[in-house]
Amino acid sequence: MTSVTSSPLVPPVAAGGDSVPPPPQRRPLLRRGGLSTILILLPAVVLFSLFSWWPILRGLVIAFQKTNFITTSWVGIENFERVLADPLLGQALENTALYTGLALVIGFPVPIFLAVLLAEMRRARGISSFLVFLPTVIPPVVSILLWQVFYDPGPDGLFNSILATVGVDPLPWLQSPSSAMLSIVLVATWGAAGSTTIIYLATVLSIDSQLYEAAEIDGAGIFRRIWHITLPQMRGTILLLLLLQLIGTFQVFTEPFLLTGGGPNNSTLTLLMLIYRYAFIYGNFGQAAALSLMLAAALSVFAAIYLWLSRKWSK
Amino acid sequence: MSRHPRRVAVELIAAVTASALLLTACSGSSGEAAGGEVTLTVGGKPQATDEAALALWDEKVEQFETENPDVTIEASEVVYDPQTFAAQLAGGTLPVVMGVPVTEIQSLINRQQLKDVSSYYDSEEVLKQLNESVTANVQGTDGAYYGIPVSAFTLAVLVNRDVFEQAGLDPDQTLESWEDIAAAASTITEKTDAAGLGQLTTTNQGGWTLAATSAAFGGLIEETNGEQTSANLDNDATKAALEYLSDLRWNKNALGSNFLLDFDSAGPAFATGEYGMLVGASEWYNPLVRNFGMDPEAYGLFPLPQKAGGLGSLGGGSVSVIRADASEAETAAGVAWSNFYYLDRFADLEFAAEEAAGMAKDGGTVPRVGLPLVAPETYTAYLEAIEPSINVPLENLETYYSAAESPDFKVVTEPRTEAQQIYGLLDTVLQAVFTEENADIDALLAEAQSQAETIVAGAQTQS
Repeated sequence: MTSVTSSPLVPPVAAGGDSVPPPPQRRPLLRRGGLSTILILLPAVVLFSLFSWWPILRGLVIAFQKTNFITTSWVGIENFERVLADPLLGQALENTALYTGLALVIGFPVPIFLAVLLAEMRRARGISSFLVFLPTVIPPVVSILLWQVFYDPGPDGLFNSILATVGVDPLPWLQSPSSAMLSIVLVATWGAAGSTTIIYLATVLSIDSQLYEAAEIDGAGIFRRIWHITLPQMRGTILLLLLLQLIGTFQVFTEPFLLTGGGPNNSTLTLLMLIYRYAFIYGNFGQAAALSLMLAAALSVFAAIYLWLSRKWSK
Repeated sequence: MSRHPRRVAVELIAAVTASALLLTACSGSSGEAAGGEVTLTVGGKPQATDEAALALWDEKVEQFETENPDVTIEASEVVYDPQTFAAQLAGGTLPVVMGVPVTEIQSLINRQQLKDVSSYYDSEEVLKQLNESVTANVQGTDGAYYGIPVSAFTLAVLVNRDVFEQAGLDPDQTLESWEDIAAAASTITEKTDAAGLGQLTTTNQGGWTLAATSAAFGGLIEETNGEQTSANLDNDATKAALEYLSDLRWNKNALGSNFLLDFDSAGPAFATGEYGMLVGASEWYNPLVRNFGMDPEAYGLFPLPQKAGGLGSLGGGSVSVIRADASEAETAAGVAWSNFYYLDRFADLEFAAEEAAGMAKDGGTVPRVGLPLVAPETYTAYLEAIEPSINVPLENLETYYSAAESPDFKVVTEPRTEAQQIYGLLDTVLQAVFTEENADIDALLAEAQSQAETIVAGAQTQS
């Protein structure tokens, strides 16, 4: 550790040691490298200001306005009232919660399972990791169009052809309100599991191998090692990714937009799709901004409570 | 001398702010230059990949600029897209003149985003020749005209003639009733691999086609009385139309297996013979043949049959509109361009013949298929003038064109208030009917009616 007295910035303590050192002098920002810091930060600040913070502020303002982008008037909380009175809001909220729940049950354990499996592999871990990660690098639109073909409801559709070989009648997949959301969750899980798996895998591989060796000496089998060592060691990552997944799934848009357009019978209409409809189909940007604001506020509150709880549990 | 760091930071922030303001200021610019010259920004320029259409466009721009030396056309490929329209309008990058679908125009009028061009309807001869059924679409509830119709169509029964022949049906035999359509759909489903009828259900196109069917069954989904509009989704005709479609779906199994269809998915399927019929725009010849590779000879067209008390065929089309904030000089130039590019062919037959020859040579569709914009005698004269260049097998469309010329042919205008939202509600009703065998049509319509009343009342309060 560097001695305080070796620092050229702090005057040496006088012999005798009882004199109080003068307060450290604040160097000018420029001499401390301030200009270069500002210059390095500047592009990011400008870009974020223009393309992120400014639109967020504009959205905040538009939520209280009626605008056709030629003339604008203030309408107070009317946009919020209209959104809250929209009968589709309840359904969109319910659908979004259903998607989040299904994604949690189906999609959340998959990457953990895959990561543990990959970590346990002694051979071909590289190629297996690559294959698991592959769906992530396929552009979502391309993969969704592929799944649309897979989900062809006719007897000649790919999945239905496979089911026919075991004597199962064709399923409607996206064409039925009862199966459409589940079908969408499968697509989303397939597309997103790869990147999460890699993060989990990195966590699993960083676990001290001595823990496993000790457990093996104590006679622990593979499942006990996973349960008592791997999963507890992954806890921090799991909690963080769970939060990110919950926020991400609450903002699901691309999959239902491309696969079903919110149908059939609004069974896959999500909150973001409703925002999209307000803004781009009905041209009501005020209502779209109002709902966006409400969603952002709800997610912020949720994230704060989640972080508070997870910190409390970690103590 | 070194500068104070805070001052440096302040200067940097000031520089960034100034640049941002400068960028903002540059984004909206007037098209007027000194000396009365106008630079007119025009959307709808064909994509570079469509070489034939682009060549024709460039030729016409050059010709227009020669005839109007004070006007410079600045063309862009911008076409109407609800996702970018408002952002471009806000950012000042929306062309002064562009085409929008008729379905959208009433919403744009209500939002006061379009220029009133009524005065030109008094002064321009070519605009006086337009059919009333066509110009009615561009009138606001105040009676003013907010655009120039440049193409028109009605919803019709589109027929894949090849599929009809495979099913042993005569594609020249007019489908005169909805029962004829049901019978043909059943036959096609039984005798071929194709589904009898494709019914659109998504992106508001389901509601749009259901509104057309309802009108043919005798009911309007929105009624207008002066400036007041009321929602009328829950009517006997719409219920009968839904029961008719439900029967085709569940009893005759003649609608295929995909019930999340819009034209982007149904169009290619129809073009390649996966459907025998489609209820859609009569002008879809162009995208079906040019974009989806349909054999021109396979495209057949019948008018929508009318039940007793049927109100007519729902109309549609494209309208050339001008931004609400355009200057008078830009407006005048925009009207002149729209007339020149789309309408002068009906007033100047020599020009029409030359233009048609050029279009046919460049691989374009001659004539444009759809509802004639002008009176039958004017349109017949136009067809005679361009006869050597015609490359559309019009004999297959004869039934539709004959019906359209008849004085009994009625064109129903689209709902005036929040058409897209109302269509969206009907999309949902259709999807429910097609995916739930015992769907309660009465309850579905009652629910849609209640939502539509809120939407219409809200829109009228706001406007």
